[in-house]
Amino acid sequence: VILAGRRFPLPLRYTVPATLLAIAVILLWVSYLAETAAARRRVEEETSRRLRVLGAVLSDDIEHAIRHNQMSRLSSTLAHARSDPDVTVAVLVDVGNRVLASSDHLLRDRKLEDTLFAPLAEEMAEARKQPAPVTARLTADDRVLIVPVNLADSTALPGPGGRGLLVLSLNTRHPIASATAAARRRTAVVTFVLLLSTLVAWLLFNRMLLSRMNHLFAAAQRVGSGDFTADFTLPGRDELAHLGSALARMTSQLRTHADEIRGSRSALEESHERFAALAAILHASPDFVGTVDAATLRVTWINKAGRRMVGLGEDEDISHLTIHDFQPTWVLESLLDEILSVVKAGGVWTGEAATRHRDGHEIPVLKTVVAHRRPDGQVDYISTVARDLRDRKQLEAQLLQAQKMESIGRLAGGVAHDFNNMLTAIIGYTELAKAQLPENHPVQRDLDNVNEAARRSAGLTRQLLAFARKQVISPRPVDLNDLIGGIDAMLNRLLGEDVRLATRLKPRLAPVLIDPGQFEQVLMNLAVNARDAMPNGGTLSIETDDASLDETWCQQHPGATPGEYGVVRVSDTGVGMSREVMEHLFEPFFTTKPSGEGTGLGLAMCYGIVKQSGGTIWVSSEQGHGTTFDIYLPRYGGAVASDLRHQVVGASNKTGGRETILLIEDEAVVRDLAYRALSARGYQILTAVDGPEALEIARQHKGAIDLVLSDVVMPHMGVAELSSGLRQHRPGVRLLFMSGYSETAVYGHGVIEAGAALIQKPFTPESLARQVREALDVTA
Amino acid sequence: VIQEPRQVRRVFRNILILAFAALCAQCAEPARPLRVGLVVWPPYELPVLARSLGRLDTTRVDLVDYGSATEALRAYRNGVIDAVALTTTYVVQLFSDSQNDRIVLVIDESKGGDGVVATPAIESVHQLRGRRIGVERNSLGGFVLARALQEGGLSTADVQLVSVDITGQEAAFKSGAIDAVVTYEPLRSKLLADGARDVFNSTMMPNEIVDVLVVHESALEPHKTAIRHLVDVWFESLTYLRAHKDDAAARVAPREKVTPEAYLSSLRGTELLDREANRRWLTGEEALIRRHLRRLADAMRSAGVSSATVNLAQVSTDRFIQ
Repeated sequence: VILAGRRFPLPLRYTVPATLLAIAVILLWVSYLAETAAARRRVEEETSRRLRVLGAVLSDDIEHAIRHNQMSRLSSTLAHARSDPDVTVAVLVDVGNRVLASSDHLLRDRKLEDTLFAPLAEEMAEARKQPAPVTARLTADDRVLIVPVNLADSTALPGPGGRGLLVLSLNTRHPIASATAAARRRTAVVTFVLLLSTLVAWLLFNRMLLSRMNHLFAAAQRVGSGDFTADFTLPGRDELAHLGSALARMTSQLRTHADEIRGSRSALEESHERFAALAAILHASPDFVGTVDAATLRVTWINKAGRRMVGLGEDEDISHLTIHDFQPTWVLESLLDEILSVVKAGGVWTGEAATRHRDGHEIPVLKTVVAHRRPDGQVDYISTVARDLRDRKQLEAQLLQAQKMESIGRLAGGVAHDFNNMLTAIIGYTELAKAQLPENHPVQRDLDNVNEAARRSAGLTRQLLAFARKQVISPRPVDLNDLIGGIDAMLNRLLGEDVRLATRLKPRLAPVLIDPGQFEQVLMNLAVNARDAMPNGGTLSIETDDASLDETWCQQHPGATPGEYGVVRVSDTGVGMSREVMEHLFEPFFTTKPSGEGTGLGLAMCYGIVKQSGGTIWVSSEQGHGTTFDIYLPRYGGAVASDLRHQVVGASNKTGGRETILLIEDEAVVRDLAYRALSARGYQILTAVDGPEALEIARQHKGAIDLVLSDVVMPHMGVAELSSGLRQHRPGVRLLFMSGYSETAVYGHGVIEAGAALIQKPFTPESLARQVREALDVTA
Repeated sequence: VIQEPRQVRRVFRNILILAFAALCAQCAEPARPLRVGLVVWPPYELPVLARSLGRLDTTRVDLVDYGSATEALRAYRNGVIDAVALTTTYVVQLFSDSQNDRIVLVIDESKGGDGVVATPAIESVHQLRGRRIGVERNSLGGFVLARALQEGGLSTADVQLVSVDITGQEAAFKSGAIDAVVTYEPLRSKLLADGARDVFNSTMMPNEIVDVLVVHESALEPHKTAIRHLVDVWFESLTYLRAHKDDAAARVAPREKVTPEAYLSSLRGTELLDREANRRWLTGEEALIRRHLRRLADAMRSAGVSSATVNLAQVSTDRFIQ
């Protein structure tokens, strides 16, 4: 196994002894062949010798018997030849080749030609010519010796005397077989000894070499399977022992290396795990996080959010990209070098910059760039964290817009308040002036024009107040579908023939809490705008739906509050608006219409009404693709009392009376007007400029005070304090308030208690007198 | 740890064992054929007939011719041959010397084949007194002579004994050197045909002259298949002889130096025993051969031919005739 290969299919302890054995067997075989050949040769020589000895002895005996005429001895003499077991036959023939005697009685008296010696006629003839014996070969195994015998001395022979022949045949089969067997026996003995010595050699080899090699092999296998404690030491001082100690040293080195590798691997794995965790965190980050190689500025890594930000696929190859591929031109030109020099110098660069999306558009980002250094101090790579500022910028813009709207509203409200006072005075005094002039007096018409202008101004003021959410509204639960259905016909008339009205109303819509009249006004305004945006005709669609606004939505839409809403979507197929137009859309006096055609207050009023109702309005538009207004109105939850506000003062003809009225108004023109209007109708009027004065009057006045008519917004004392003070001195006194603001604003601020009557400025002397009378009557 | 596959080890071991066994199998000394000594005596021609017919496997059985029983016995005793066909008179002699021989086959019973022939002038055994009698100086010759003299009321002192072996008997008788001769077939018939007178023959001594095949005890086991083969072909030849008299006689007569006719007539003085007869002679605790040998030994002792006492414990075996 150790040297297993093509040349050594078997283990050494087989190949070595087997090779030795094979060599030995070949040697044995060669020696065996040589020995058998030698044995055969020896047998041949021995046979020849035996035949000659036998021939000599027998021929002597025969000649002796012949000389003494003892013919009867011939037969037994020849029979003696057979005492040698290999001699097959002995024959004595006379001159005429007749068998005189034979060891085989059957051959007696035969002619030689009739016997088995017939083939040897030539050799026989040869033998007769010479005194020496002749050898011949009868068959492969049969050797024949032909010995001339002198028969001349015989007198008893029946035939002629002369030279006879003694023929001896000897079969060599047995002697050769015997010699061969002996050779084999010797070979077997040698083989046995050889096998035995091979076995001993093998055992020794096994013990001295293989068992030691096995020890090394087993230890090597243990090392191979990771066990470095394997013992390589071998007793002795031979080559294997040296090999063992060399292997032990090698294993020790291996062990050290393996420990190191294991250590670094676990550190590497730990680092990998940490990197994976960090990568997961970074992938989860909404910010762009990326790294670039410091030397080449090639991008090496970008997190998921980063890829999305610059328009790369999640698995897209980024190896070919450099830091320059993500920078807008202005950054490349003016910022990048600065950033890189700062971070390479060891600093951290943080600031607003921009990133370029792959489609070319620019994304504002807050960027932090850091350089990471190798232990040798060289900058290895640079990382960038960039936060997308688009949403923030948008929110900021929206917030700014909301704040702007708020301040405009506040301004408009303030202006409207003062306007209302002024207009009250103008209208009031005009009325008073008219009343003092005969009806056909030419000034009457001028005064009417003044009055008309003042009323139109009051209309504008009201719209301003509506925008400023300081208009008087009366919200109640309303089914939007019913409301839209109710104004359907009116809207159609408003839109004209070229514009089609399509309504998609959601059945079983939850009711919303709004002032239906005001909201009709909103829809009319939107419809008029839509019509103007569709000069060539189109479709105005009004849809209703329910919506639930969550925190996330509200964060993205400043001014909205989470909750359940009814939605009215008004969309047209008109020309749409630019971004700039949309930014100023709801601002008062902003109009795109030609001068004189629009007041610029329509959408501002819509905005105010919706906001005042607790709702939200959003517009989306694209130039050429129409405009859509989404109006979210708070859903009615059933908690709002149906008559929260005071009873609307109805029409009454009765305007005069004799009751005493305490009038409190800081604005002199209004106070004077009210005084004149009411005193002219028979009332006793006590006047005060503010709360403290009014309380003083209430305390000192001896007579009854039937009604307190007070402005709501006054210096020195709030309405609440005033009310409680009055009730202290005059319990059960009736109050009637005047205000230029909406009643919601008044009530909502807790200024006056619910149910108290209120007169909206500007009022005419007539309307004031009528409402005073009603207040007195209601109370009574 | 290096572990050789189990079968590799087994194959290795088996190859070694087989190779060694094959080598050893070739080491045994090659067997020589069973050498059987035969004299010229008509019943003994049966194996010769078998050899002539090609029935005898000569690599297993080698027939060795001897001129006389004396020579054959000597060769047997000297270990030159393993087996010999003999008359039981020699067997008694043999057994008195050693116990190393076994009779494996009973060949024939002489019923006239042995006897004493004399010149025409001598008419009976009584007239042998003072005559020269040629005899082979061996147990058979001596025994037949002794029985003949007993028959005539004579003793060896009453005659002149001339030792002549079988090969010289014819010449001696015809030359007048002897007046009578103790002889056997086929010479007996030949002399009778030439005018000699039959004064005594084995019909007068029934069951006393029996021929057997004796094998050295040491050769029984090594040559057991050869012996069985010899016995088998012996009986086969007997069957053949009975079926094809003339052909059989023509094949073996030259060995007897007689004509086929003469050979067949010489057979009349003997009874050839077949396998069945052999069973009677050899089988059993009280086999016929034992009784025969005991009686023969007694007879020979009383005839003064032999003084030996014969131990008949183990004289024969019937294992080869079964």
